[in-house]
Amino acid sequence: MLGAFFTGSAIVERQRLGLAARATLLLLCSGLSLVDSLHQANGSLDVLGRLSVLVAIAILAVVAGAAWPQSVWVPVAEAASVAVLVMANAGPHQPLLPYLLAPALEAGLIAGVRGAVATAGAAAAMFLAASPFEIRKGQSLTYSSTASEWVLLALATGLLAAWARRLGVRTAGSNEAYPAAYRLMTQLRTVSRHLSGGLDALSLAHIVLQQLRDRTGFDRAAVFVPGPEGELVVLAGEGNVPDWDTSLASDGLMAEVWSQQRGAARQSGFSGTKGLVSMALPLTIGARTVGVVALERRFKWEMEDDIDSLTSILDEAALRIETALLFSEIRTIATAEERRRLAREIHDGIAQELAFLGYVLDDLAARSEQEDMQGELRDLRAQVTRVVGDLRLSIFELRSEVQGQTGLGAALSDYVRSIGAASAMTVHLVLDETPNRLPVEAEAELLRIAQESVTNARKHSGAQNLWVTCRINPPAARLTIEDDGTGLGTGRDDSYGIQIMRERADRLGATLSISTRPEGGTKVDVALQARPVEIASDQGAGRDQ
Amino acid sequence: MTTVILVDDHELIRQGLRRAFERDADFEVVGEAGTATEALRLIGELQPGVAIVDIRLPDANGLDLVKRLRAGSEKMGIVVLTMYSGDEHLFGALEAGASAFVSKDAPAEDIVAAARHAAVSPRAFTASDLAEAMKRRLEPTGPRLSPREREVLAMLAQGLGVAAIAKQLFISESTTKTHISKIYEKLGATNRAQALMSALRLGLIRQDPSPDRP
Repeated sequence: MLGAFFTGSAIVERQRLGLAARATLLLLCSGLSLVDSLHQANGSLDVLGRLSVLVAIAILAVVAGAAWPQSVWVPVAEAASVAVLVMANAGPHQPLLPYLLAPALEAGLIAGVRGAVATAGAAAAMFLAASPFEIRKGQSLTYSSTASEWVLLALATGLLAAWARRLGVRTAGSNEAYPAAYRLMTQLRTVSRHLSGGLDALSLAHIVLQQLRDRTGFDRAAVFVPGPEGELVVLAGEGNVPDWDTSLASDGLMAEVWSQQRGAARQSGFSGTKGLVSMALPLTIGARTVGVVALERRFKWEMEDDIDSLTSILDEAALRIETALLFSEIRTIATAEERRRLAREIHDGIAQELAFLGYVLDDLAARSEQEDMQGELRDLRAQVTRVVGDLRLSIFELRSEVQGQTGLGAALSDYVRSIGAASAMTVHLVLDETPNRLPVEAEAELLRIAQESVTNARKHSGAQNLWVTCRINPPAARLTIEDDGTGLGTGRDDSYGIQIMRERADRLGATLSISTRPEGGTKVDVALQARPVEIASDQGAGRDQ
Repeated sequence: MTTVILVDDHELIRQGLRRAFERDADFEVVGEAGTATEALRLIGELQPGVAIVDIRLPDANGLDLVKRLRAGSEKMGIVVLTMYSGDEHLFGALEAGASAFVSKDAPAEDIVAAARHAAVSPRAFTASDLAEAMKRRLEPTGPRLSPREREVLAMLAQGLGVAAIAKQLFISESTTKTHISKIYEKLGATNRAQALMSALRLGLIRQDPSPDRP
């Protein structure tokens, strides 16, 4: 995409240069012609006629150059026409010769040495072909030397342009990319500072759905992007969409739209239900599909050609969503790297040092003669053991992550299991996952929220039991963590943790509630929901009847 | 007297362990190594009775070192030490041929006790959390099916087809197919018969088709 962008801007640059060269040379030729006409008998009318033809040739060349920006034939034809004009109607009209530099310059820029030679050659050929007929007696010698001078000058200009082109091609690749990338990153930084959750793909997807709702009604709709295992996952949805066929390997509507890159509609719902109509639109950037927007409703679409106009409003959104997804991927990678670094640091630093302190305490206790001193040292040793145990769990927590193959369910059950192993709590886990997965970023945030609340329960509540329930039904998910401990205290110890949990939930667009259980203990409830379908959609559908 | 070599890249840990072994008249620390390479050289040279090996070494995985040591000697006691949690390290040590597995938050006495055990019966694995870890390992027998997948599996066992299952569960046929392919994947099966066989073996379904169909 960036490559195409640079080529595009280079063409615009070159066309601007061509235009400027033509304008300047036209002015020069006009001046020379006027001066020339003062010395000629056949008046200024002829001169004006020839100048208008030259201007016409120049305009034609600019227009044709815009239509076929990469074609060297445009300047070649331009040079040939100018040569004919110079010779036509009792030529040669030497004041027009300087104009030959313009096509030569352009041809050199378009096609290098080949272009320069072709243009100069075309002009020379025209001069040679016309010379027996048009040259007035006595002028032949001066004429042929002047014409060949200008042809050579045109060739030199073309070669200079060819040389400049080679320099330009070399620098455009390396130098221009950096400022552009830098600008892009700066913009990303600015945008990410203004939005609470950075460049937020989720909100962007909801905006797309809102736009589609305004343009055409729907009962259920969702934006899908490729997931970690190559299937489509819901980025944002309105209404309940978990049973839609999102497999890219099937012959479903979404798979078809994904591969064909063209919107399509069917007279059945996405899960094959009769009485519903469905439509899928591709999110494309250039020749790449980056997602699919799927809509379903009860009444048929108003016009078939709606699909194209609907697709066109997605083009800009596609770029934004893809950028946001890339941005969040970068953030995820950076965060994961930082977590691994922290884990290493704790593992190699403070954890080992505390373990050593523990061994020293063991030694002191073993050597101590006094019983009460021994008892105190053993107590202290137990504290050190507890702290090292906590650090070991922190290391484990920092190292556990959601990945391509390891979904939220697997990562969560591994984590909860090791908590059960390392603490006095009995852990009860209920997992209910559909085959479809949430976006990896959402899974990661949910895992971190679960870890934070489990850690709070383990450290501060003195609970006997921990109940972890996780139901995933994309785009909805619900996670509850309950314990039978002392419940919410003053909140002083864990308020920072709760604040971070809230931030994570906000980033997901999820609701977080922390409450005291009636039976005692704490309940943390995170709900990530598909936006409920508004009643307006029914009215929208009714309007279409 | 049993000779001991300490292999850990953290000097403090080696120092602490040395203190613990020096208190015990049955042991003598004859060498310390901070890397796997150094450990291999020292152990080859000194032929200690027991090697204490940290699971994470700067130049190699501690468990790989354990495998090499075990391949070289059946009689040497090997105690694996770790700061990591997670059962996979414990089972990794067991499979590599270690004699004992101790976490670094345990008191020094535990490590000495593990070394004592390792010296006597190097091929009988022990760990403080072994029984619990085995229980956890066996508990969710292999694959975990989601409630919906269990429903679909039960219907497959009754001999229902894709269309019938979809209808009963009020889901689309393609979703049903996805559930079924997930079940196959989790059970390592490529067709219905194989899936049902392994589901039976794992106790996910019973032999008699359940009569309580809705």
